[in-house]
This record gives sequence, structure tokens and C-alpha cells, in this order.
Amino acid sequence: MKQNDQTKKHYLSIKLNDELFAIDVHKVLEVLQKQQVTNVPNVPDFIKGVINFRGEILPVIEARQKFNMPLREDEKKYVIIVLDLTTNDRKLMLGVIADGVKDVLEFADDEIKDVPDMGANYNLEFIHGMVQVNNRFLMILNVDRVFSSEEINMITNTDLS
Amino acid sequence: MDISKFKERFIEEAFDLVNKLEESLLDQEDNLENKENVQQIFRVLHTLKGTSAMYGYVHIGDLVHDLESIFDLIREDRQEFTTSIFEITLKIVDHIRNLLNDEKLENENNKKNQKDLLAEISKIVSEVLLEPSIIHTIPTQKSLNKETYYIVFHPTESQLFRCINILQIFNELAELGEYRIVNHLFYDQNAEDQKQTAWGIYLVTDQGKEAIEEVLMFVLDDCRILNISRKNLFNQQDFIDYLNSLKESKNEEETKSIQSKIEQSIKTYNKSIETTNMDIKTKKTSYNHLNNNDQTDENNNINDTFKDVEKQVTARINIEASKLDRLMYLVSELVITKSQLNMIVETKNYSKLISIAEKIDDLSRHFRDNALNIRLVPVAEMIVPFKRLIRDLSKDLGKEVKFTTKGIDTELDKNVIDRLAEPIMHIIRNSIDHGIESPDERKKNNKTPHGNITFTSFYSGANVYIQIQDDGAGIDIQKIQKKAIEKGLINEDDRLKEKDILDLLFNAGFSTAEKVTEVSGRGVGMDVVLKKITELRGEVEISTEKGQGTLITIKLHQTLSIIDTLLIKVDNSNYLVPISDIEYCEQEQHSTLYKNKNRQVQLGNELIPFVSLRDLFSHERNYPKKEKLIIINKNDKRIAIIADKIVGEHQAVLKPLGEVFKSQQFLSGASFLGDGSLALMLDSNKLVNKDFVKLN
Repeated sequence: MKQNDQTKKHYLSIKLNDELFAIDVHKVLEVLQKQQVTNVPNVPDFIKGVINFRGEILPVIEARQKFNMPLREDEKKYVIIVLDLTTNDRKLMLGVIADGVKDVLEFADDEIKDVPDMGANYNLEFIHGMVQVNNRFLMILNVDRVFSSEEINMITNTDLS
Repeated sequence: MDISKFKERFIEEAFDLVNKLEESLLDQEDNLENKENVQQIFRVLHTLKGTSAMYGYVHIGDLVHDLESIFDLIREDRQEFTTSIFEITLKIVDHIRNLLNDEKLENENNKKNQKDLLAEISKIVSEVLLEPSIIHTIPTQKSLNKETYYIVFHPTESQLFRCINILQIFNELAELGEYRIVNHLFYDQNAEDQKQTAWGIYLVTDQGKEAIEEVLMFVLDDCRILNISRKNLFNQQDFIDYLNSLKESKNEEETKSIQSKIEQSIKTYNKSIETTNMDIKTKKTSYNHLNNNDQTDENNNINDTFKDVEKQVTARINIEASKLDRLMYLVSELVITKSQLNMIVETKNYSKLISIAEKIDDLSRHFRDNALNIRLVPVAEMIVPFKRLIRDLSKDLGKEVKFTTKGIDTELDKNVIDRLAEPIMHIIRNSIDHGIESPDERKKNNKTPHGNITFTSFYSGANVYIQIQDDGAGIDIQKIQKKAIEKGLINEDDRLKEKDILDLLFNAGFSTAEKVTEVSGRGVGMDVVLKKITELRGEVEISTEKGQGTLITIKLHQTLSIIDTLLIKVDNSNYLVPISDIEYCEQEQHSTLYKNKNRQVQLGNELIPFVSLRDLFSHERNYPKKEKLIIINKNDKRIAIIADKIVGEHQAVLKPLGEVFKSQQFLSGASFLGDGSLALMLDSNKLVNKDFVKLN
């Protein structure tokens, strides 16, 4: 992708526990409505299970749980954001459960500010930066880091032996 | 149009031809009397020569040309099939494989090989042709009523769409008579700057123009047929020289219509020939002598032989693997949708719908079976490399090995065959290196000086078995035991059954070979074999008798993608067990099972370890009163799986769980059920091999 300081990048803003986050739109394949998710045993809590996405098995992650937020009430609506995090070394597609999606926004790279170290609620490794929109701050998620397979597999293994 | 699309097809078919050539050669070495093989070799060489010229692989053409002449003499019993001919042909086989990837001969190595091989051939040719017995019979009168035609053939996009098999057309042309092909570059009149390729075909036949038109019927619009001489021009040395000069000269001259130029030159040439005296015709060079041989025989031999080749070509279609994968994906989606339909029909009671649903059920089952069937290829496909390996290796090690195959028409999924070749190579290598003794040693033990390796495959139920048996020294059980104790794999006082000791061979880094050889014995043998076979959801078993030999049995599923499974339930989760692994099902009171601490259950007069899926996958511990037991048997190891409910059979379209779940120990995949939910496939191999009794 060609870019310089003037070109703007597109971000999808998502809602999680009344906070706003943003994801690089190029990583998003599709946004699915709430649907039945099949549980998989012996996985960390934040892995909600798997769904059928275009004939393939797609692991689904509960973002609230991943970020240690309070859980959503069962009957509440949610969306599954399908991310394609495939790189040269690995093929990885993931579904991420969020409360909802808002809009697609445009920011230039120089609009993105660093997150102050102090008082940050989140592991800064997972946050690419933040932008101000209508007096609200949006955290731009570094999805490649948050949902990297290493990150997920680190605590996956509940080996019996 | 661009001929690159044809070219891809050519390369595919050429690889097939070369494989066939290698196979026939190796057969021939074992069975010198077999004339059919020589015929086959000749045919393949002939087809290779013709087609490689069509696609500009001149280097292959050069090599094959003289070789073909040699085999022509062999098939007429005028030349012996010597080892030097055999060796060089085998070398050429390898070389052609390289050339197919190096059309322009840019690789230095290939360049050198090409030179060496050409020199070797021409040496053999000169020796062969020096023998006076060959030259005396030259039939001249037959060529009198033969006429020479020049055909310009433009390959076009539409031919590709119409699935016209160009190779077959050329095979049919060959039935009419001898032909030679020249590659031409043209400029399309419509698209000024575009370079076009066409083939110029010189054909000598006595069948007349109509016969040619008939062969070219489907492509007649793209052809021009000219009768350039009422004689057989291939008998004229000047003409041959002219053709050769055409081949050498670069065709990319700056003329916009080489075509007309060539036609022009032919016309003038023709005239000159008409007026030439008879001297030329009686000029007997070794070259046109060989050509003549082709012609005298063509009515007897080539007609038949090409029909044979044709039969083999049309009997099969090469399909791009991705197209098959796509078909399999659609089939699997259909199977899933079908089970959705079944579910609705079962819950709502529409009597009319039921019969239709049953029919769809039936049809989709057939559809599935047929689609799977396309993927099946006979195991014979992988045999040739084994033959080659055995030949080369036994020679290197100074051993004699006779290789026999049985039941190689047994069919397996192409994916399985592709991934099976490597482990079997390992096994055969082991057999030759460690198993088969040297001829002297064998004689001492009252065995035939040559060792025997037998490759057998057969069906049994839904499984395919492959056995590799040798009559070598066998495996020394005591030696393995000693080695295993040394390595700390087992204790000295462990009392193991023979089978358990043999299973130690599958441990990584285990090798009993006293000295490490080039071939095997670095301890990376059997564990790799086991790993590869397990990846294919297969099993391996070794049995051996000291002094008598070793038998290795591989048990495989015929296909990988769709499996018959039993659907079971724990809580609200669905699990699948491959039906082929299940021995029987039972039920038992929960209290009886958990009476004592040992997780074992007595069934018949056997104590079988059990594992509860509820415990294993940490579901809530609300055990039902009556537990269902599914007894699985893998390699004579039994374990009982305990679930809440047995739902029934399910045709599972297996999908991988993917990267995220790669640390899952006991799951090997998942399959969608009719309602869109997922059932998880249990890895029965892992379950059987885990010691649950000790864990609890």
C-alpha cells in the first residue's frame, strides 16, 4: 500500500463496554450478526468457541474477556468482527466479539497520538495509539499483537499430564 | 495465440511420458525377453520427439532422436539391448526431467550433461551403424507413391476451450506417415506487433489429402494443407539438410510473413527436385535409411502402437488439483446442507417431503462417493521411484535385490499417495541396508543370493493395507532391548512383549545399526515413518522373525476428507469418533464405574482403561446415572470413552481446527452438523496412547 503523511487510513470503530476502539479496516473481512458459537473444551476463557465461516472453522474471541472488562449480559446483542491476520509466515483468521460497530473513520498518521504511560488502563503493547474524535478518545488496537497466535496459545495449553 | 497454455499441458504429459519410459526401462532390465517393453519404449520416445519439437524443446528432440533410432533397431532384433544403452537411456530420462524445467538450456550443469549425453549417444549410434548387416535392406519402391504435404497449423485459444487434444491429433497424423515439425513465429495480421507461433508440419503419406483433412477435422479452420511434392521428400538428403537448417536458424527474422517465404522456397525447391535426376534418390545415407524403416513398418507396427498410446492417453484426464479441491468443497457443503434438510424433515412431519429428502440423501451419498473416487489413484503410481531406489541402492551396497509387487491396482486418495511415498522410501531403504544380507552371507544361510522385497497392497473393509516384506536378516529383538536399556527408554527388569519392544523402534533417535551408513542408520528412520503415517491417520506395525525377514504393515484410510463417524454427546457438546476405530458400545452404571480409584472397567474378561470426556474436557460434573461406553481399538490397544449419549452416525467432513487450537491434544479436527453447530473429532490415536489409569 502506498502512503505518505497526507494520505488517510480507514479505521472501523467498535464499541466495547461503552468505550470506543478502532481497527484498521484492511484487517476486517466481514462483520457478522450474533450467532450460535460452539464451545471448545480446554481453552482459555476468552476463546468463546468456533463458528462456521465460509465453510472453514473460525475461532471466536470474546474481546471483553480478553481486556478484562465486565461480561455482557446474555441476551444482549453483539457482533462478530472477522479479522484476517494472515502474514507471510502464517494463516490466521479470527472472529472477535464486540458490542457493536459504529462507523468507518479516516485519520492521517500524524493525527494518531501516543498513549500516555501514566494511568493507562490497558497493556500498551496492544494499543497502537489514540485519536480524538468529537471530544472522545479512540484507542487504535494493534490487532496483529492482541490477537497474535502466540498471545492466544500462551495460555491455551491445559495439559493433563 | 500464445502457446504457453498448450505448453503447460505438454510439460505435464511429458513428465508422464518420461515416467512411463523409466518404468518400461526398469521392467526391461528385469525381463530382457519382453518385446512389449521395447515397443513401449520406442513409442514413448517417438511421441516425446514429436511433441518436444512442437513446443520448442529442441534439446530434448535432439537427444531423443538418435535414441529412438537405436531402439528402433532393437525392436527389430537388429541390435542387442546392451547395458550401455540401458544406462544412457536412464541417464537421459533424468536429464529430460531437468530439461523440462530448463527449456533454453541455461543451467550450466544441464548444458554439460547435454553435451556429454549427445556425445555418448552419437558414439553408440556410430557403433551400431557400423555393423554392415544393417545397411543392406533399404526398401525404395514403397516410397514411390508417397507424397509430401506441408501443413501450417495455428494453435488458437478456441482449441483450448474446445478441449481439443493436440497431442492426439499429432498421434493420428503419425499414423498416416512420418512427419517432422518446424516451429515458426508469425506476426498476426490483425494485431500487428504480436508474435504468433504456428507449427509447420512436413508429412509424408500415401493416404492422400483427404485422410489428412479427416485427422485435422476439428482444427481444419486453423490449418493450411499444401501438397508440396509427389515424392517422399524425406528421402532426399538436401531436403533433410534444408529442414535441419530451418531448425537451426533463428525464426525471429524481421520478416512479417515468413510463412509465405517458406512456401515460396518450398515451391522453388520442389521444382528443383522434380528436375533432379535419380541420383539423389539412390543416395543411401544412414539417416534416410532409418526414416525408411519407419515407413516400411508403419502399417504393421506404428498403427497398432499408436493406438495403444492413444488408449492410455484417453483413458485418463489430468485435472488440476485445485479444481478437485473446489469440487470436494462443494460436495462437503452439500453433505452439510443435506443433514440440515434431514433435521428439518425429522422435526416437521411432511410425508411428501420425507421421500424427497431420502432421495436427496441417497443422491448426495452417491455424489460424495463419486467425487471421492475421482481423487483415487492406483498405488502403482508411486512404484517406479521405488524400483529406481532399489536398483541404485542395491548396486551401491553390493547387494542383489528382487522387487515384486502385488495388488498395485489398489486405489488410494492422491493426497495420501503423495504423502506416503516418503515413508515407504524410508522403509525400503531400511530393508536394503539393514535387512537384506550380502549375497555371500545369504548363501551361507541357505538363502537365494538375491534378496526379495515384496510390496503388497490390498483392501480390507474401509481400509487399505500396504505391506513391505523382505526376506533379510530380520530385526534382533535382544539388540533393541539392550539398546533401549542403554538409552534409558526402558528398565532392565521391564518385562515387555515382543511387539512392545519393536514399537521402541518408533522412538526418535533410535537406531540399532552398528555403523552409521549413508543410507540409513542415523536413527531418523522409523520415527519419521510413524509420524508421516500418523499424519495420514494411519497405523504402522512391525513384525519380524530373526533370520527370516521383516514385515511392515501400514494401515490407511482410503480418503482423508470425509469420514464415517459416531456422534456422541457430553452436556451440550458434540464429539465424533471414527466408526472404523470403534469395536463396540456398552452402558454401565456411573456408580459401578467410579466404585474404585482405578479408571478401569471390566468388560467380558478383560480390564479396559476408560476416560470420561466430561472429566477430560472439564465439563460440569453432573454425571448421568447410566454412562455410555464406546470401546475403541487402535492397534490392539483398547480404551473406553465415556459419554452421556450416543446420537448416531454422522458423515463428517473434517476441517482442521487451525493454528489457534494447535495445542489441543485430543482433538484432530471438527465437522459441522446439520444445525450449523460443530462437533469435535476425537483423536483416537492420542486417547489410546495416553495412560489414563495412572493419571487418576
